[in-house]
Amino acid sequence: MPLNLLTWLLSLLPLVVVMVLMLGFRASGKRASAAGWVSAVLVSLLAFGGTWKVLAYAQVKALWMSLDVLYIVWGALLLYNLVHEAGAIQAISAWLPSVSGDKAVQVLLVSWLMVSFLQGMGGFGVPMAVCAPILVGMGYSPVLAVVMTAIGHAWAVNFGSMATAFQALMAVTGLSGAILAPKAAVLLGLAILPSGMIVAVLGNGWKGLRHTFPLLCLVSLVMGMVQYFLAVNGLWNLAATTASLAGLLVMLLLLRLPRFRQKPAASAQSAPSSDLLIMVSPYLILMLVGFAVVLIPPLNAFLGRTAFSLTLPELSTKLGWITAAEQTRPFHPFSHPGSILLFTVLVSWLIYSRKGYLSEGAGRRITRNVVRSAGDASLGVIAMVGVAAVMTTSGMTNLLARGLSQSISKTLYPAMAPFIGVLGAFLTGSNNNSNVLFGVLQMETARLMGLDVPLILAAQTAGGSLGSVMSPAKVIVGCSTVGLSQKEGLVMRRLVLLDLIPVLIVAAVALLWSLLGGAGG
Amino acid sequence: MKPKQNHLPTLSMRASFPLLILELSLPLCLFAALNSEKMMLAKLLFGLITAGMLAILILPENPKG
Repeated sequence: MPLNLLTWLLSLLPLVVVMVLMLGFRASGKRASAAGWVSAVLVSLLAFGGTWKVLAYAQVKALWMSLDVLYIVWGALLLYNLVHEAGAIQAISAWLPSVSGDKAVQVLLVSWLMVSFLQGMGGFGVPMAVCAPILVGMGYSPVLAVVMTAIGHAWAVNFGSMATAFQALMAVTGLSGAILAPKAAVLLGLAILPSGMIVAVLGNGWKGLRHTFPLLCLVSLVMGMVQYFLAVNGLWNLAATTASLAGLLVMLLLLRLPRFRQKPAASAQSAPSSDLLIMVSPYLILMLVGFAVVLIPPLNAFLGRTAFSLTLPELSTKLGWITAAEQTRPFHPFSHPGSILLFTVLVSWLIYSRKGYLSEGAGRRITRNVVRSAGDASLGVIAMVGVAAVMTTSGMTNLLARGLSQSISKTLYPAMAPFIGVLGAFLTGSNNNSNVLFGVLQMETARLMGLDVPLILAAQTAGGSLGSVMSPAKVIVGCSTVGLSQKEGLVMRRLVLLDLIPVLIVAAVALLWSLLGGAGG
Repeated sequence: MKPKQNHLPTLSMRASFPLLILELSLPLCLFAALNSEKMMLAKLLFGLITAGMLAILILPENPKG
């Protein structure tokens, strides 16, 4: 497909449709994504030589990718509704003021540290779906709750979720972690502080930021250093999770110092500690089981024995764009994060039932709520992943990225690289998929231009990490637990502009680094 | 006197669920049809998937869910 302004604008059309409907017309995620899907199919058929067979296989591929996400979404919704039914969300919301009377500190604990820690076990918007209701319980509006949790964990996506996005970058580029990790860890480390600052301002205004700024700086420094140290020493799959855990511990320790100690709020209802422990036990079980499955090799190997995947043939459009034959990503039913969530739900149900925390009819209410929320969120995810699959198999995504890279000068390209990462993540809802889509393209462009390859790839994955949290697919999931189904556009309007701040910082640093460092890699 | 009821179909959250089941199962049937080279059936299934997407797009949403 020749690259010119018309073909480039046509490639962009499905994304523009989704953005305009969600941001301009406040359309629901599922409706905007369906419109994006229809426009992608039309553009593919009319201008990109797409055939019905290419589109049909694209939909099969989209379903397979969606199932991976939806299994986690349904598990997370089930877990959320169970803990909500038991009163745990209210208990956590009531306990937080006893840690600190400063509202900005409470918000930072939930929507900067806890949410980033949860990203370590599973992404796809689940950390937002778990943490946003706690903020609503603290009195924040649902829109603000989703926005704060989204921005708060954007830095942790790349090295979170057992660093699947980073592993994908290594796999597609063929470069080792030792080459890629240092610069990626630096760029993402620099995004930690701005993410926290935005959360503090949203949580308690500029006053909140002034109060917490020294805390933010110290905790960011610790998290950035821990993440960097682990990433450069080959432990990238634990880098973000350990960093956020270290941040959480340092924050709690600092809050005990006279300089940072705040009187607990008068309204603080500190729940008896044993009750609180039982109430939050599902999260503790989730962490324990999640880490056990990933970190105990024999257990991982045993559970990972059963796997399913689809074999897709080589696809070719009428204009000659070829998608190579492939085996889809294997689906491991027993070690999948969705199964871990279901196991957690089962054990937690037993604990809650024994302790009498579940009233009569709880099962019926939980099922009804899950079905109601899952229907809308899942349709949105399927349609949005469908947009990505149609665009990729028709050659539209490649043309879009080629256009971006060819229209930018060598000097400015490092500042553009994160935005290509953002584009891929926005489109697919995943840092991982963004790296698969654009990793090689960014590497080849950097080589042709004589730029520092690891720096450009670090900018790509940092952009993907920061951009994934504002993708419709993730926002739909985040909104599903705070009663914002069909109102995702309200969140997107606030989130997109705010989330671009850390992206701009990463872009500026990448540009400066490139200018000062010269070519290399 | 009761106001006249509006019977226009809406895509309520309850109606989303059957649609979701269709959008999940049809691509799997489509994959089976493509693999066994039953092209007419595959075209029909792809048409149904498209109809599902159009239903999400066109049917008004029920604000009450």
